[in-house]
Amino acid sequence: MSNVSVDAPEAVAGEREAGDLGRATSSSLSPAFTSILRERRHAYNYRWSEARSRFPHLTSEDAASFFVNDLAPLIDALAASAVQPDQLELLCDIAVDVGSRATGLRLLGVNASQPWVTELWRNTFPALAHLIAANPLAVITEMSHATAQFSTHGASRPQQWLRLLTALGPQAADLEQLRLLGKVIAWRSGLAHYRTGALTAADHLPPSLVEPALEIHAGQSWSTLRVALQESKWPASLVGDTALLTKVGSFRGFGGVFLEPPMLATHDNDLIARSGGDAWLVSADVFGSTLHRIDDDGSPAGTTVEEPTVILGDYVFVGSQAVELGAAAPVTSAAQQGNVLAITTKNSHAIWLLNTTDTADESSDESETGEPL
Amino acid sequence: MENPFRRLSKAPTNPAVHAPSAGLAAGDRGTSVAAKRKAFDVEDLYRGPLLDSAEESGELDLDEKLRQAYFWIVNTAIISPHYDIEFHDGPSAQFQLGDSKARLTLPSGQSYSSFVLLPLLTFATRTKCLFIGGPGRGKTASALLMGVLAGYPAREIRRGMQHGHPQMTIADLLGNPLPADLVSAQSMTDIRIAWRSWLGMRIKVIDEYNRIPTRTQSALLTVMGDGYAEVLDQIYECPESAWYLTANDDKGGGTYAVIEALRDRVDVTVQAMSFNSRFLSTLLERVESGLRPEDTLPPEIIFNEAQIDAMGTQIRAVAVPDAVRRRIEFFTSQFEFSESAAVAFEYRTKDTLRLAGGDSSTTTPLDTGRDRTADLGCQTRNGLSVRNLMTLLVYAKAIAWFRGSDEVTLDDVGQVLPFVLRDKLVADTDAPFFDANENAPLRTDPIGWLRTLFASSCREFDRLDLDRVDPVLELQNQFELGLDGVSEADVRKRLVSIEALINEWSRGRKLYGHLYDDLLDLKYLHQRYTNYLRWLETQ
Repeated sequence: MSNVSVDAPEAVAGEREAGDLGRATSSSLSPAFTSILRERRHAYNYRWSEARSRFPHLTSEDAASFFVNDLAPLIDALAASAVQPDQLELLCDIAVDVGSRATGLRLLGVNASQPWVTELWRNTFPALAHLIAANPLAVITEMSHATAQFSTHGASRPQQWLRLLTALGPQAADLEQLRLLGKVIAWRSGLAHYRTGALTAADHLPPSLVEPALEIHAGQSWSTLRVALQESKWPASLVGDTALLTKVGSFRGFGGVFLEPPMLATHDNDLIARSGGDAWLVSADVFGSTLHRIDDDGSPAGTTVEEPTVILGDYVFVGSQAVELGAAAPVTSAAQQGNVLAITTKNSHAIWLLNTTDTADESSDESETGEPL
Repeated sequence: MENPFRRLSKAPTNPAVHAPSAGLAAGDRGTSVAAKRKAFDVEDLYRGPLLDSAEESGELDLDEKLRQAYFWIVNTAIISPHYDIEFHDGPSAQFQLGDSKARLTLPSGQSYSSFVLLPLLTFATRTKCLFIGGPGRGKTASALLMGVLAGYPAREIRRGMQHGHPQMTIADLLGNPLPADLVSAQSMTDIRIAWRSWLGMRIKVIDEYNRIPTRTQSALLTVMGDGYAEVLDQIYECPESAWYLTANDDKGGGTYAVIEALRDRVDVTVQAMSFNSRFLSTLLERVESGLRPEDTLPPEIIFNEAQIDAMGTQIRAVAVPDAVRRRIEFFTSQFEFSESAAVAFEYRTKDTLRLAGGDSSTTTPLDTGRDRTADLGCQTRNGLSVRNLMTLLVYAKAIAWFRGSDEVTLDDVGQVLPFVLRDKLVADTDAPFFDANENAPLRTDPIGWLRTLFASSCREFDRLDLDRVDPVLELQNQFELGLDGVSEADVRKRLVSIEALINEWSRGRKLYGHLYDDLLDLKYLHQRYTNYLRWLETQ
């Protein structure tokens, strides 16, 4: 029987001798955190040895890095927000429980497959200290889960999610408001498939939070935009007369999902992309796009193209504008959805979404666009 | 013949907690286009692998599983018809019986037997529970069941159980150095220890701990308090465990007096109740079946390590609302103050008196002017420690979680408080309060006394209307907003407010425990503002 399998806090040393880390890092840790580590040393040692039994790849360095780099900023922020010492210890326990599991799942820490959850712990959680103090388990796990989702959707924008959450999260009055805000920000940051739920969530938030969460520019109001977003995934007030709205998907070898250039199909009002024997549901709107693997139900290929769109060689004429396909041409499939034409081409793994609204006769509209455009 | 111990309720044990929830059920999800689109539930944003896998896979919620365990134990394993932890869901029928007008309540809410519930909460929170009561009342059997609930075979728990006896040595308790190493070792570090296997178990049972010699008790204290064992400079780190100790006497009697530090490490004390003769038929059924409950625990209610971890995490996450926390603070503040214990304001405490070898019962009468019957502080010989308060918070959260709530109620606190503070808050039975005829039985009923004490404290809190008018809380809240950007004029204004409040209180008001704590808090705030003001002046 070994005496100390993983020696966590003050001495999260694992195979090292107990006390190594304490000596190496004590100068970088705050007195409040050091005190907790000293007090809870055995408990954290145990928790990490348990985590290592579930995740054998965990090393003592992972534990040390977690405590020093990932957890310390949060605990310091909690201590600075006047959390009582006994409460701080309980909060730290919860954070260690979740953090050890997140590290084991490679969501957090130096060996994480993506850096976003680690950034969340280090930079965003300290800003959310007062909410974590009130609901530690919920805030830590739920925000970690939400951040991890960005890793599974290549076209999403985790940096934007973290930036907005860090900036606006502290303004949430409580956990429920933080959850609502998170839904809106996640949608704004590219998780387009959550559009319906996020719109509902936005209805329960004050405009003072929704407007910065959706990065609505001066001169626009949430109430007006709310109506437009309800009516269209691509409201004219946001996309203006831009012809090429966005491109969705890319070659699997470059981090996308398609093995070969996709072909489009429609099912009711849904857009389906087929590629290499797989089928994907395309979810896209003004804030972003995501692809979701589905069973191929054999929906007929989309071919309908509505006026005033004309496909001619390397060009797609949309209203009064022309979109040059260049080397991607020729068009292999197309599907019309409202004022959006989706096309695929022979030499590209992307789905092109084109704006078929003819704005030539319309009065001058705002041409501000969202980030993905 | 049907195994009577395998019966497990299929119905939710607390239906109110398990009402069907709105939204998409797991079974509705699929990968067809329509199903996929329907499955875009924005709540999924917050779901993921960081919670316990059992929860994710749709197994029983852990609180429901623990309730299943509770009802299995209470209905089939340990025959316990005592529902002494009462919760009320609307009006409850009450009856007065006998010459003493003994009150019998039929609770309208789901109520529990402390002898089963508190050990289970100890199991879930990995704390320490002491069973007290006469021989043969199920103390050891109950501890044994907790071990089986944790997934240990009954035989292993029995073997791991430490039986206190007057000749028990540290080596008996912790382990022996290997004889070969003792002979050949060149240094202490070369001596390997054959640690006793119970040290590595997550359920630790110490039977009759008050029969252990004092020196061995000190070694036990290290294991209980600090989670490691030490023999000849060798250390064994123990896993986090739930502890169950038994004693026939809760006053520290037995072969050896239990050292104070060890008694202080006990988190809850539970009394084994007497056997109700009406349940003899159940006992007969058990004798005739030849089965022992611990050998037949239904596997559905056995918890694995990850689940026990998850229970602890979930319990710690239960919220304590400010209103409940304030009542706990108010209750706590009643007891430490002793007006005549010292001259310096900060040292006017019962602990000062204790350290000087004094007795609060002899000095309390010197505290003139206060109503010694109404002053709750006069009923105790000591105050509450930080450890006591932490334990109280943990168990209050645990019982709230067990009942399916995500926040603690005042009822939760009131029900666990007597079991946490039994033996911790010592009654001064010479106090005038106990002289009243109706209170005399409370001298021998610590649970009843502590319940009465907490109820009285809450009544006093209400009488003072502290929920609405609490100037100290206002000042505290103002301070907790932070000092950044607070101007010199504002600081001076706040200092004047503090001084004005103290000045108002000094005009003829008697000094009670809660005021004493408030005054110390005001002094603290005053000092923080004074320091800040000094800093501002230097800028």
